[in-house]
Amino acid sequence: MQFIRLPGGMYGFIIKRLLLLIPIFFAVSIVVFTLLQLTGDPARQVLMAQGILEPSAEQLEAVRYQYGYHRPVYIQYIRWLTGYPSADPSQGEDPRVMTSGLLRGDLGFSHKFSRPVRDLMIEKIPNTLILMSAAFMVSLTMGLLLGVISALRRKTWVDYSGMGLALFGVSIPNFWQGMMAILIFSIWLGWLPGEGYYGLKWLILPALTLGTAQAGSLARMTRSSMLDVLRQDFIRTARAKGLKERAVIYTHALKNAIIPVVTLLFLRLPYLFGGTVIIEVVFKWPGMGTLLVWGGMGVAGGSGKDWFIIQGGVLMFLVLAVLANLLCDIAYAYLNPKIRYGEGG
Amino acid sequence: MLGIIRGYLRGLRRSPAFRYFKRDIRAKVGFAIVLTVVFTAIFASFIAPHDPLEMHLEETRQGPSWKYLMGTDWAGRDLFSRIIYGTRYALTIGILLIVIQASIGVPLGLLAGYRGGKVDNLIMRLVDATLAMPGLIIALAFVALFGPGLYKIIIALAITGWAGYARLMRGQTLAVKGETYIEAAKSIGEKDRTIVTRYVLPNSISPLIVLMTMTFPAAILIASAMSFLGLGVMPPEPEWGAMLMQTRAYMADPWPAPLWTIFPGIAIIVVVLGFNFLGDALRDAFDPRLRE
Repeated sequence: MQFIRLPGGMYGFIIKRLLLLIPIFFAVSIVVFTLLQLTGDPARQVLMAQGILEPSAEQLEAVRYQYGYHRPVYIQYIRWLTGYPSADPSQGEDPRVMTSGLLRGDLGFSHKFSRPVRDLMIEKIPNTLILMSAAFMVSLTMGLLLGVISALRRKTWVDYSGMGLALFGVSIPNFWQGMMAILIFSIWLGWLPGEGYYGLKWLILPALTLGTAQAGSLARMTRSSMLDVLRQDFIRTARAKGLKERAVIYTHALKNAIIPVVTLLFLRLPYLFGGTVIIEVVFKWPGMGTLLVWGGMGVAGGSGKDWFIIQGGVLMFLVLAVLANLLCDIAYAYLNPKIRYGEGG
Repeated sequence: MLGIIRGYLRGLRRSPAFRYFKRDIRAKVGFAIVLTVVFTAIFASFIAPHDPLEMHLEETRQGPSWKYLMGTDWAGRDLFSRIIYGTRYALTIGILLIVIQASIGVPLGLLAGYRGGKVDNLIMRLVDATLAMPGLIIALAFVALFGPGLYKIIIALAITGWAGYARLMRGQTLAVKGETYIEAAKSIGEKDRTIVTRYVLPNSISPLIVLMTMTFPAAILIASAMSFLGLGVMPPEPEWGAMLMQTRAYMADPWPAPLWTIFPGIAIIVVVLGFNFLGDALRDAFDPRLRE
């Protein structure tokens, strides 16, 4: 990057980081494209999604030519990415089923749902993001609160019970926690609905389950970070200056303790994706996770595999992970000036 | 390798960390749980009163009794025996997964830290990329390709799990690389290989053990989640996650159906909690700053 002069400071850092997205995106696209090749025969996957589990050699051959799978792999990749070269009927390729390219938003066609995968994704992604943001809020509030209070009341029963709770939260499998929530609040008490998503009421149980699952580890991180800060010299200085304990805690200690916690929180976002998939399946939440597991993999209640949904879903989650990572880097640079000027890292 | 371990243990017994560890109540509880679980897994066939797969078709949906300690499920299988056999799956997954992860991550981390430069750069880029990927999604894609099963999910989860070990080992290596005794070893003409295995590795065993103890419960949790999704160990095998997956269809059923949900979950929690206790106690013992 020596030949282009990029602006320094925060904006320069963000621009550099955004430019880095381009090679990362190519890497992700190659990985996702390779998955289809690794299945052995893409044509077989197309037929499998159509419900033909044991295709004849003629059927395979026909599909192979229709979709252009007879071409060399690099041509297939370029076509999958850009849509070019476009379908050549003289080679038996069918323009109606040919992809118009990932860059133009074509994620393939789901034969199982008889709809383009892109439409399915557009329908499901908002639901997943709603669930994830609600859970994120829950874990942030609960985790920070529990961690800070435990650190301030160190070695008292408050600390011990708070950390006991957090350890318990870390040790519970979150799908089981979700099942118990359904059993208790939905089936036995009948207070809250436990399946599907038709309104805010349906959000409560899954968001709490997913949120508390993350809150445990967050509380543990917050507590140790807070304890680290409270041992620092500047806290002693603040106290020696005669500042009120409240001011010391809230303006000096908390602000500094939160920095590593927030970074770790963003770094752990990929775990949240995994957790979301599981919780969606438990609560039959109509999001990306259920689409991927039931629609794509055809397990846990679904039927039949649809490779194009798997491909699209995996791609979406990887893109989300890359974006989360970007957010994390920017947040970290914002909080830690050393990184901004290219001194650290 | 055995020599390293023997030397390490000899040093450990006299260290303040060990004294601190011995007094820690979490260490005692964790150790007791882990020992019980290991014992149960080894002697499962003696402890379990019934075959975990055998269906007692005249005695389905029984509540707890002396014959069936935790009752029977919808197919008349003894829940207690299934829980007992489940420890084998949990331990197999945990042990194999951390062994595979460590045997990929540790050498790469050592190499990156010791060599530095381009090698370091390349390996760490790979580590960063791997850590940023959602492990469960990668595992899901792997299962989509190669199908479900006990050993397949272990490999699927190891694809992303090694990176933490590599990062730890690199940090450890960098920390000791500048020490005088490494320089001394170099000056007496020790080979790089010897330096790494005789000097660098032994000094990194403590944090490595902590990381292993900490990733063990995480491995059990994510593997059971995979089985719950229908992507790991398949029913009717008595793996706890797989048992919970099947139970979902009977959740609204009358007593004793809730027991089929409650007991496998508690089993997972107990095992995971045991390892977490042990891990926390180890971490605190090896970190002098946390000791009082």
